[in-house]
Amino acid sequence: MPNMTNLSPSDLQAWVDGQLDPVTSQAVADLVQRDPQAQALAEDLRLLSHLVRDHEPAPAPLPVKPDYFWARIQEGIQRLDPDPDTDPTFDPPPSRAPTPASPSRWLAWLLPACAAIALLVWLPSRQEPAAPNPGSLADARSLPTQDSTTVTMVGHEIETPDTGMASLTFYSAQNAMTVVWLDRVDLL
Amino acid sequence: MNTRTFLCTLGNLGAVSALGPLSTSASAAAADPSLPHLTAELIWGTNGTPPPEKPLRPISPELATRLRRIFKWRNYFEIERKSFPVTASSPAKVEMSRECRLEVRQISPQEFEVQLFGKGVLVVKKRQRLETAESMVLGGDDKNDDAWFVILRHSRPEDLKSAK
Repeated sequence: MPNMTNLSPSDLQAWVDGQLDPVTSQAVADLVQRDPQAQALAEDLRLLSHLVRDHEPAPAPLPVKPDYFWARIQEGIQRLDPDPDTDPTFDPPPSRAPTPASPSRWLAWLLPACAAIALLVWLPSRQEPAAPNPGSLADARSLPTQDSTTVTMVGHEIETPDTGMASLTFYSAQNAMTVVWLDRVDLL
Repeated sequence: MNTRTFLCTLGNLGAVSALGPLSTSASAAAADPSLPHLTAELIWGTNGTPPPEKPLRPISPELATRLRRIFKWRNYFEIERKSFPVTASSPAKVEMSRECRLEVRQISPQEFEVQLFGKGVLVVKKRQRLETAESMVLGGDDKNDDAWFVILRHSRPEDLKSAK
């Protein structure tokens, strides 16, 4: 329980956030009622808390099903490191020695990690207006794709004159589709 | 897009279709089989059902499967489909609805420049390499958690037959 004669700002913040036990909370409430300075500070902290909460960016809905990416990652892992129990096409090389640092094992973890990082970087950026990118017309297909299920996320290869519009482009080799997803475009 | 606006859009499609031959600037070249032909489809994606007043045609099962593998919507309905020739000299202007227009120009045998206009304003411009079996999907979310799609691909013989 904090010393009520020396109430620290962090104690007051904990009280404002409702993180104190009932007894301490009541003691702080009594003190705040008696002390105008503590009352003003508590009011400021409450206001700050509301400002932060009210202006938190809304979660960006993902048009693409999350399990689409997970399925691709899983396929990539299986291709790089087939499971002899479930994969009938698995044909282990006779002299293959188990090497914990083999490149395929590294890649099996590296690919999902890269995909997850790309997703995490992309989601917050959807809240911000897309930067204009005039004259940067490249082709998503021109980026190297290593296998038949690679999903390539690329940006800056399209022109979107509306700077308030966010866009996402990726290529799905499995579905033979280049997708350009445009945010905040009312077309119908 | 709410249901009323959506029905208005569909109602306007009749007028747009009637103006189709005029609005497609390259229509004079439509008979030339040596030119590459593309097919554009305007599609509405939803997890709900289409309005009963205007029954919409579901898209092909093959295309629906491909879209469902990527996107979260379960049902896809065709609002408009048009096949048109593409030249390098002048862009083909294709009215997909009163609010949605495409302009497509050929850059090289398999490469096209696609411009999408919404309500008369350029929304996106993209240069796209399009192989015969591949599609380009332009899409965006709509009101009520629905979505719109404009899908561009090389025309198949049946597309050109039904366009005649």
